[in-house]
Amino acid sequence: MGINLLPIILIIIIVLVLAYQMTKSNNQKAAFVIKRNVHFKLVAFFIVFLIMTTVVTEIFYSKINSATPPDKIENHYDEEYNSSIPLEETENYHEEYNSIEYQIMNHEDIDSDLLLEKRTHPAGQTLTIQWEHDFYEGNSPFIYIERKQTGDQRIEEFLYKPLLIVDDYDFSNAVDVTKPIWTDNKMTIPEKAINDTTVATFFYDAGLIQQLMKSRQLQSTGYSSEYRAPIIHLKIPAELEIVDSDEDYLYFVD
Amino acid sequence: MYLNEPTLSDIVKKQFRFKLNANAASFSTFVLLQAGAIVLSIVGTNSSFFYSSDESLVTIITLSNDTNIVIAMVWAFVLGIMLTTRNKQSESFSFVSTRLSNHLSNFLFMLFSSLIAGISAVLSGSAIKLFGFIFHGEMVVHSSSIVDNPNNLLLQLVTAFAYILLLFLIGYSISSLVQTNKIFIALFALIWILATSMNGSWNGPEYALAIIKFFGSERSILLFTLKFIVAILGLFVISTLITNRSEVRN
Repeated sequence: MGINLLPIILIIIIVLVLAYQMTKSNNQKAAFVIKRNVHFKLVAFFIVFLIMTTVVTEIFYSKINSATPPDKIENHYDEEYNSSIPLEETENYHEEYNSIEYQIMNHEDIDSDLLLEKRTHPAGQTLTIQWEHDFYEGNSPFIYIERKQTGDQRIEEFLYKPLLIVDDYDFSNAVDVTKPIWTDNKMTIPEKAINDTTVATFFYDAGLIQQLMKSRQLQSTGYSSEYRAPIIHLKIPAELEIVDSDEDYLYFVD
Repeated sequence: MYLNEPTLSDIVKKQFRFKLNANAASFSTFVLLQAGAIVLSIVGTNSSFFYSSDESLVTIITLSNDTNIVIAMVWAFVLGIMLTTRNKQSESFSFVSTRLSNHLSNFLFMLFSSLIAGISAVLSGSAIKLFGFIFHGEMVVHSSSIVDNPNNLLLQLVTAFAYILLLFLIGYSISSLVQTNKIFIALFALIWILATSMNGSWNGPEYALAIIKFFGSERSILLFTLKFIVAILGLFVISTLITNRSEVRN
């Protein structure tokens, strides 16, 4: 049962209880009688309790409100990806959130803030790329492979952050990333453990009572989210042979 | 001429006290509902987002006193209906009173109840924040501190009071009409059907939404107050006039 149903059930219960009171005849004796004073004392106690919690909340307001708010983003990832406008014509096409793939494919510089880690590995004659899980399931990264023109016998690995945007908030840092494991001439994408993280706790005043306030802060009526898996950009020697059973997640940069 | 002739004001005061005592249990019900709503709100609404097909997810917890406000309004609506039932009417005429004194005392009762309900519903936000902090830890509070901005608390109290009183009067007026003539039950059912149905030539929800927007989209304090005073007094006058000629006891 969803938690949202509970208030509705409560409302139904109040209606039923009050309806029962309405239809109860005057002659009918109640199972137990609560003195009128008790009712009024209960109300008074409740109001005093609320006033006290208000005072305590105000004293500890800065402590209660001390969580770091999530980063707010300016350009909207989904607008630019789902728009009928060609990607190249969108306003923020070269902005950090949506351009990693484009920039890799066009040999452009990528914002260093998006880089999670850069590693280098010695290259042999071949490179085997192996998934420890079905890469259609889980958080499989996209792998871009670019052949270097220099005779450098090293593999450069650029691991870019995943993207998770909920409404206008960026929760990318909350996404757990499983880095590839490198052994001799082999890159293994390990299976990622299932993760469940609470990324933010928000408090909003009820929307209705904010009606007359100058600055209203209304909660979302329905959250929308966008996600992009991590991206691995490998710069490999020109002659290195790639061994992989399935190349669906491999993109070769011309 | 009588030795002791009570004034309208004395009668109204007595009836108001009588109604408070007679409906004392409703206040306990209200407190229990509010306490339940606070507990539910402290648990919060979880919005979870899967970010990969292995069922990994991130969760956002949202706390709010929306439920407290809604419950206060529903409580007011139901109690408004109850005030005009046959039993309550008979009780009201157990001692010297008039139709007008009965309505005025009912109005006083509704004002008092709305004040209690409004204060509780608004202050419940602080309780949710405090116990939410104990339950979930630090949070991002999207509302200003009362110390920093006391005007906001006042505006919230005014808004909650106005809406709760309006719902009281709507329930009271509907019930008054139904007590006068049962044909109004059919009329209200028809209005409900019309307001919720739509086809090619009729869009009921649009009209219903226009009424809600008339009150809900008003940002000016002056116009808001004016709209609510006119609506509340209008409903009260209608209820008073239509029940003025009804029998005291059936």
